[in-house]
Amino acid sequence: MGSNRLERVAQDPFAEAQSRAASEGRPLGIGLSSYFPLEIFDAFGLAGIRMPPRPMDGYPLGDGILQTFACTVVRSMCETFLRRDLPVGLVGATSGCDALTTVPGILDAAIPTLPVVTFRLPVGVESDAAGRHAAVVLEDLCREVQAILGRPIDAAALDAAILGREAVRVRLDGLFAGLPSRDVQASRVYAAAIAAQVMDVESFLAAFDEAFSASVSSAGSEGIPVLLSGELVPSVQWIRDLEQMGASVVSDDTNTGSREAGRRVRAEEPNRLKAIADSLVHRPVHSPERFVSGRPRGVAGRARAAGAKAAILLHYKFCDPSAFEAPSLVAALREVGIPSVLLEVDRQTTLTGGDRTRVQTLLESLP
Amino acid sequence: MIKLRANKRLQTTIRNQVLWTRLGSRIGRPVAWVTSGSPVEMVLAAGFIPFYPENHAAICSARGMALGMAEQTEALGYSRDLCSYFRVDVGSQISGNTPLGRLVPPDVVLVSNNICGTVQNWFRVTAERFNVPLLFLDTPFNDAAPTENDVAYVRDQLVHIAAELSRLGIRTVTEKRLGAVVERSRSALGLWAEVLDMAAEHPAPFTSFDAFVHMAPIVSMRGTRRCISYYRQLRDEVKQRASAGVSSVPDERARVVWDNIAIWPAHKQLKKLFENYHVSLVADTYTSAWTIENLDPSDPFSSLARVYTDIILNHGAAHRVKVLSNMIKKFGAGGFVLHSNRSCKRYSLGQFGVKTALTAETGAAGVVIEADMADPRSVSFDNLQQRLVPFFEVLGANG
Repeated sequence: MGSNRLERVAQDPFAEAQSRAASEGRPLGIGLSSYFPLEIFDAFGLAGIRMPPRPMDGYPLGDGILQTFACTVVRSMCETFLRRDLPVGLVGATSGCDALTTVPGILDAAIPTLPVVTFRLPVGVESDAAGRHAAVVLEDLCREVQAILGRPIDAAALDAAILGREAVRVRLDGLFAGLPSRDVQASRVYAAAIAAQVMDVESFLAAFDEAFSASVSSAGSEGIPVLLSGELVPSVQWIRDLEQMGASVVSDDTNTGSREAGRRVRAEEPNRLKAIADSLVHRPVHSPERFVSGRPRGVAGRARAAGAKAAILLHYKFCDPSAFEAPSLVAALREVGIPSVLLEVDRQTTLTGGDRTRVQTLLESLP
Repeated sequence: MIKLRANKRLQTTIRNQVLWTRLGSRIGRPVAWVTSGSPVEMVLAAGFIPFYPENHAAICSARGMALGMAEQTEALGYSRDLCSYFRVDVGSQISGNTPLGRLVPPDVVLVSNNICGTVQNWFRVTAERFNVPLLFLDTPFNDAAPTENDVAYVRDQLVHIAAELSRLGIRTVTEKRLGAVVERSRSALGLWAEVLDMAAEHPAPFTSFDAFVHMAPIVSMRGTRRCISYYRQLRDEVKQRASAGVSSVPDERARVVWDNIAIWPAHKQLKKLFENYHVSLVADTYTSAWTIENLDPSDPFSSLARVYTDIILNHGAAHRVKVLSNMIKKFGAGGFVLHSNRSCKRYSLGQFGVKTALTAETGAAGVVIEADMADPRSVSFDNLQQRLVPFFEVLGANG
């Protein structure tokens, strides 16, 4: 464990975010959703990261501003900002599920000095109108950021950020696409994806090339091939726990993984903001928080093509989009002969005893 | 307590609306199931008869039928943490149980996410269950007023939806036809606003407990002549009560405003509790959501786009503070009750901050109460009472 830089970062991404801010001497731009384009933070001179997963025993401060029937992801965000132990330059929220949509207002009331901007990305993403509107609201967002930071967007930095972030996504996407071959253990792939959320682009690419170069031997996985579907992977250990139980993720459907890694920014589009907006609206695989048709069947089809024999549905308690989708996703998986088990995650970052029993039963019961 | 004469007409009106849905479907009128924040004017202009699952879920809950229905939905694999209106509605679809007789299945489903993200998932389930087209109106969430770009985006979608409804319905949605429906909506909304505003009188002749019940037609029938007729009568009756100094709550001693949906499983008990403590619930953010202004029959698409994007639940906490603050001043309230509703994250998350800001701004006392709009398992009247009675004491109201 922790055998390379990416795995060490993934072990404690929160610590990486803190040390990065200290070493780079510039404040963090923290994106709260995989739909917030970190390229924008980079282009404004902030150190762009996703809000890092952080194990917490409870939310003593956050519970004072947010009810307990919000998911742990959102509660953890509020707790982190209230603890003030990350040097925050700007927080970037994105319209989406009800909880995430309300977060900026909650933070604004609780911490008036915390600068928060909202990227009002359309929820319905299948129409041409949505694509046009996404570009417009991204321009609005940049104007708002400029007003807050007191400096304009740096066009050259934006170009560099687009190229750099794209390189990160392409590499990660390659790893996730390669999961069915099982040449690389899935936990290493997820470690890279989690590390990418908090590392600066150059360091990540260097660490990635070192970790996954042909000369570095990698034990593949022999486990039962499974689909993993959910919003955020709680930790690398969570994946390792699955692997230790004999499961091998061959198909990913998570925001941590392939959903975000699959996004592509068109190089030929001269309007760079429009290119970013398009990449979000036309993301090949959306989260269930967006209004798209046929998602469950698409997930099931990809799982089948990857050779999955079972599915693990990672469901955060109080996550409405996942909870609404779960029955239809289970049904779609059944249709292609893939049985599934739903694991409800709250604060835990490793599999609970109950989770282990359900996974074990599922895996043992397979013919 | 002197009951409103309109109570009786309300029952008849709702029953007739459901009967009309059944009759209409027999003579070839298509039925559209719509969310409460959908631009119903569009479906009416296309000749559809609208039906509101949210209203229906509220009625099921108020009549004590919610639990069994919710459990049936949960048995399908839907989490108990999901919206109880959704669980009641789907349970009703599965079981066929309803206090309103047989429900007519939809020919089309129209949903807008201006009230929450839940409905887009809920109505997808409905559309798939009945295998009918699902029309979705995406209304950008905004802390401030909608931008011109927001309005243009929503208007584009409305034009598309109008084309779809024209194709699926019995009439083409023209600007003129839509304008006529918008005009009727505007009249009904104005009358409803007049009714609610009369609670500013001292003593209040009408409270939110009345409004929670009498809102049904403005939700489900706005845009029709029957709706106008209904609210004209209600307005006149409440006006008479106001002129005569009739108080909805005997010996009114305190006035409070309410945030969020009613607590249907405890509606009658809560109403009684407020009466016993001589507290008038004079206004609320829920029923006043249908006091939309600025509908313009001469420019129906743009004005519908603007108005339906600008409703309270499509804004953040700062806007809620502003609305409640204005309400407290306008209605002379000394306190406010925030219903933290487990079923409605969009409406509830952020209320702790709203409470602090509202008290700072108005000096009014506030309390947060935990409950659910429809699931009786998440409602404890004893707990509500334990929160409310000391709050009433602070307001100087006691039994």
